[in-house]
Amino acid sequence: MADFRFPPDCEALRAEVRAFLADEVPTDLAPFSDPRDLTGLEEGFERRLQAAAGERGWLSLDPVHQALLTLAAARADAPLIDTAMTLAGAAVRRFGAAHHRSLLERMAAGEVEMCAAYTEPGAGSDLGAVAATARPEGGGWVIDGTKTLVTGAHKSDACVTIARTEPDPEVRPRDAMTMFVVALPHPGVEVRRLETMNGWSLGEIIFSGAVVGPDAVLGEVGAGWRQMAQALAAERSGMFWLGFARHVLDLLVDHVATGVVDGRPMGEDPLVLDRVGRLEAEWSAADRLARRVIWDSAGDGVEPALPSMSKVVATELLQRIAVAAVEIAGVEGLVWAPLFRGGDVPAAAGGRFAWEYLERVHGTIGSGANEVHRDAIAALATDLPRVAR
Amino acid sequence: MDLRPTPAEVDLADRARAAFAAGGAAPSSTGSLGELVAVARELGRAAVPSRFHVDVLVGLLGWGAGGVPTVATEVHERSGTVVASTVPGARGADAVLVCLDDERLVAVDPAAAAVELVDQPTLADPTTCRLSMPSDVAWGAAQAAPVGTARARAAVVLAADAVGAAQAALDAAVAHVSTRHQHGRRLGELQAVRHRCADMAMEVRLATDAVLDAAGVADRGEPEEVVRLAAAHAKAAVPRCIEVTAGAHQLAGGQGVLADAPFHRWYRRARAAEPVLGSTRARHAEIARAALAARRP
Repeated sequence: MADFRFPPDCEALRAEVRAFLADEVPTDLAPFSDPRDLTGLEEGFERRLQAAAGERGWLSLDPVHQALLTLAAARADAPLIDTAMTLAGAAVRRFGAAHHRSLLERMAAGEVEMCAAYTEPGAGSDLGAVAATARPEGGGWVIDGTKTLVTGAHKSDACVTIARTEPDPEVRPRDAMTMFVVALPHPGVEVRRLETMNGWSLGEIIFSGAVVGPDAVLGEVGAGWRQMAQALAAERSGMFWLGFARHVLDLLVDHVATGVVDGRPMGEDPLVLDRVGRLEAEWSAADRLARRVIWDSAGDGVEPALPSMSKVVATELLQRIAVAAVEIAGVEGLVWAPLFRGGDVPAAAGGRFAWEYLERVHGTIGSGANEVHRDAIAALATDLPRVAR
Repeated sequence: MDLRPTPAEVDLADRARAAFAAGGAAPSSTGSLGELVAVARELGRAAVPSRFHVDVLVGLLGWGAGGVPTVATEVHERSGTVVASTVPGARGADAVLVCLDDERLVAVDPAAAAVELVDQPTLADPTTCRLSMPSDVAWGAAQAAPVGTARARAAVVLAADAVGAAQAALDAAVAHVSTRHQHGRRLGELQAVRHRCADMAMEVRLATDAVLDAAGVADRGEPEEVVRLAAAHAKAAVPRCIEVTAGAHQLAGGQGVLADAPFHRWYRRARAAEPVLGSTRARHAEIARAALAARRP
């Protein structure tokens, strides 16, 4: 019998998270807002919250409890997601050596911020095209190259990155790269902000002859490409996208429940009901899929196509929710405000719908463009002929 | 958090697949929704006519009078007449169980003088009739029956049939594009075709899990309103199945529209449940109203 519920022992965590959000996170976050950060909150506040989460052991949970926390936090719009563990945890946990243990402990304690710097101007969907290099020198390595579109680079204490360590261009990418952990700031490393279309910033990390020691290598020399593929797969249950989707859908349901159009309750408009009902059904379907990915990963193993499916489904749903919210709210839905601006914005959901409309463009692009995932799904979930990539 | 089918469900699915391939009837089960769903998926995959769904509904309604009854679920009343527009197999039935509302039905003899039958085949079932009878006759003989709970559960089984049809259509489409050569290569090597197959595989996965979830919710004995909502989600997944069967037709190309090709059987089949499930809009509205009612303060 299929049982999609979280296991009973998750209920205690659910209650703890609820209490934490109620007691430790102020209702009015306006004093802590920072529109230039993806989370919408300033670094000091975020670090305090992250440390509090670390103290409770929440940054080193098993995948099932992690999923519950992620879902609950994103649904409540609480910034417990954009942490070192989320962005770089999988790589450090899986491939870190004994000397990385203290870093991992500090990540779990919420003491360090980290970012994952893989993408380059010439290597987005095709990470085999990574051009950054690391050449051995004096027992360590010298890194050169530019990493771009890095989430949270400006506030990171370290980054996980990847560079070509095999100078022979004939060696295939999958055997030519190595992962590194580089502490920030670092001589020879410049971090710049790149403003996004929605007001917050991504980072660019420029390595110019940056010298790192031998202990900067993460995992095996030459195995970086394969390690990165595994680390990225860990991002893709889609739970945090679903948490955000749930949050915005909650806001939309609130808007519809209280809205009045031409003197009639919005909640009685059959077209609005149809659209909201469709999105609710889609959210539940996406939630089941994410749970299947997590449950099966924890059990007998997950079908290899499912993480890609979950990523595609969740990110495209987020877009549809944002589009629906803006269209249902009408002109009021076009009024934009940054996150946590405060209650004085005379707009639908305090300007959030318009923020979402702009924000959700990138979900289908980052973590592997959905087209790349569709390629993977076609190859892994069906018996279609094999094709060269 | 266990999503694996039970050994009984796996065994039943195997036996059902063999039975339907040989033109036989559905194997009997304990009647758990999980098991009925396992059978229905194979039935939809085979896309053969069967009394299975009618029998499931008859069983859920608690009808014990025997014979070969059928059921009318989508019933409207207008100008003193009760009308059921799509009654499967009404002509050969011993009785028609006409569901009047969520709690009452009336069992009528389709040959009775007060009952008018008009042949009205649907695109999915050539045996359907339109049944009409005077309201006073219908309500005069009405009896209590768990119509609402039965329909919700039957809907999950019907949705499972659509899931089976969608899976079979996807498999057949993939098999076709994997062997069909055009422009010097197999169609299945083209990215436009591959992405369509990927989308279809996603839709099948999402629809399957909506159905499995609803069956699990019912079999665990969750409160009735929880079962009804889960059933509404299972029903809302049927359009995904319809979409997949349509996509399979497109991938099958010109040969796929011939009567001998199998694709139209799944394309029809995915809509076979519509007379019981009600309209897509009604399902969405039901889910939306539940969300509005459950709104957090």
